Formats: sequence, structure tokens, C-alpha cells
Amino acid sequence: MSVTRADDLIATARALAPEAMFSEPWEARAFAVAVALCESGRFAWSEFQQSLIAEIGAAEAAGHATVGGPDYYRHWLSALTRLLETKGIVDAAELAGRIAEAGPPPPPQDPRGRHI
Amino acid sequence: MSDGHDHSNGHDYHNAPLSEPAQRVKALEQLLVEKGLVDPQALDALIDTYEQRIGPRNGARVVARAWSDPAYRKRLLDNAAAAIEELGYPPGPQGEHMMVLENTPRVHHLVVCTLCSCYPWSVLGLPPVWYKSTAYRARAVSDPRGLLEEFGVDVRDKEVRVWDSSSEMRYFVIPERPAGSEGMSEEELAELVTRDSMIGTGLPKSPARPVRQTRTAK
Repeated sequence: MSVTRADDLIATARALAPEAMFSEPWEARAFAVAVALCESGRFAWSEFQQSLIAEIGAAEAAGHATVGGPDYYRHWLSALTRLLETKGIVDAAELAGRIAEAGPPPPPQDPRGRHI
Repeated sequence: MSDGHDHSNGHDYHNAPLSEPAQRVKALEQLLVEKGLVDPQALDALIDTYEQRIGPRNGARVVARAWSDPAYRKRLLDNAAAAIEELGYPPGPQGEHMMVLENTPRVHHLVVCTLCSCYPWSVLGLPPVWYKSTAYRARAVSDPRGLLEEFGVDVRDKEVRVWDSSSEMRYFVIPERPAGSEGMSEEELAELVTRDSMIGTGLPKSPARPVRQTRTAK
């Protein structure tokens, strides 16, 4: 990554709601679930930290820079889910079933429109 | 407003389905609630606490006290977590091990978390977006002087020390007390202390001239 590119990314991150802690409501829920489970002793904060470091590290190794906001909390959510599954607190298949019940997520925007 | 069945497959501006991560969080929360592991109202309260009650104003009070009270300053440097708790800010999950870094005319401290986003929540709240960015985390180490210049901090005559936060230790900067602040009350001093000045990417406001919100970048 060139220095100029890094400058651009910091400027972008600084311009993104400089004071807001969460850019979307789900980020706050993901944050609170992790803190609540740590406070009730389900895991140590350092365990969650290691899981988060692994998620961010993997994304950055694959060339996806974190600019902050939703992409950061995506890592957070993946780190939390992975930790809960590893510890047997949540069953991966059960969680996948719940997500499937909620229906398919909105399709990505496709400027070419749908084809039949 | 609801008409019952509206399984539209097309673009529905008014009733947009939850985004993929929002669905995942909702499913996870529901599962944990059913297992009795989290309480939705407790989650609401947690969010409210972090959004409304914990924030850089806490840190500003700590700094203002340290500037005004040499005995408190010494306690803060000796045992930061205990001195911070004295002012009524208990350590959160991230606040147990904290070290205070005091800026001087010769040394400027800069805090980063190179691996993720460790940050002293109990005094600064949750980190700003840029603190979590790949670019900030990389550049604070590779080119701290250039980064500080970009943030408008002049460190030409100073040594810059960069501190990498971790789950074991978090850092919090006491900026230099601005000239012209002699005789100000603790409340007035706290108003001068900005969030960025406690991360090291900024300086306290100067009491000599009113600070404008929109300063033209040089």
C-alpha cells in the first residue's frame, strides 16, 4: 500500500461520521452482545480479542483494508460467532437455521437487472 | 400500515429487508435470549451506557484533575485504573490494565492498536472510525510523524513515542496543559481537553483564543 493511498484511507475514515460510534443499529447489537457475554463470564475479553485479531488479520492478508464502520463490525460479528461456536455456546447449524428462517438477504444491487 | 402479505421480490423502498449482517445479529441475539444467556433489555442498557454516558468527557475530567492536583497526577501515573475509578469510572472489559502517558515539551505520545482496536473505553468511550482503519493502524507505526502532520500536530522539536495497545495494556495520553490556562477551574480545563488530544492525534484547545469548529486546513 503506498503512502498516498494510506493518506486517502485515513481521510476517508476521518470523514465517516467522526463522532458516531455505530453507523447502523445492528453494529450496536453486535457490540452489546459481546460485552454482555464477557461480563457474565462466558469468555474472557482477551479471548474475544484474539478472535477479532484473527478476523481482521485474515481480511487484511486477503487485501481488504478496514476503513471502519460496518466492515469493522462485520469482523466483530464473525469473531463473536466463531468464538461462541468454538466454545460450544452456540451451535453453528442451529444458528445457520435461524438465519435461513429469516429469509434470503436482499440481493446485491445489479445494474443490469434480473434475468429470468 | 401493514397489508399483511407483501412478499415483493422487487425493489421495496419502504420496507427494505434487513441487511445480511443485521439478520445474522438478530438470529444470534434471539438464540442467546432463548438460552437465557443475554437479556434484550440489558443489551439496550449497555448500548445506552456506551453511547450516552461513557465517552471522552470522562477522560477530559481525569486530565483536568491531573493538571490541577499534583497528588492526583501522581496517583494517576502510579496506578491509572485506580485513579480513574476514583472519579467514578469503573474499568470496563477493556479498562483493567491502563497506563497513562504524559506528554512533555520534549516527548509526544501517540496511541494505536496495530492488530485490532484496543482502546481505553472507560475514559474515551468507543474508538472513532478512523482509529480502527487499516491505514491508521499501519501508518502510526510506519510514519508517525507524517501521520501527526496530517492530523495537524506539530512535533518538529519532539521525540515521538508510539504505543501499541493490546488486550493486556491500554494507553491514555495526558496532553500538555496549554499555556494561558493558569487559574482556570477544573471544569473549564476539562473543556479544553479533546478526545484526539488523549489519543495523541491532537492537542488541547487553547484558552487564549476561541476555538472555531471549522478551521481551514493548512
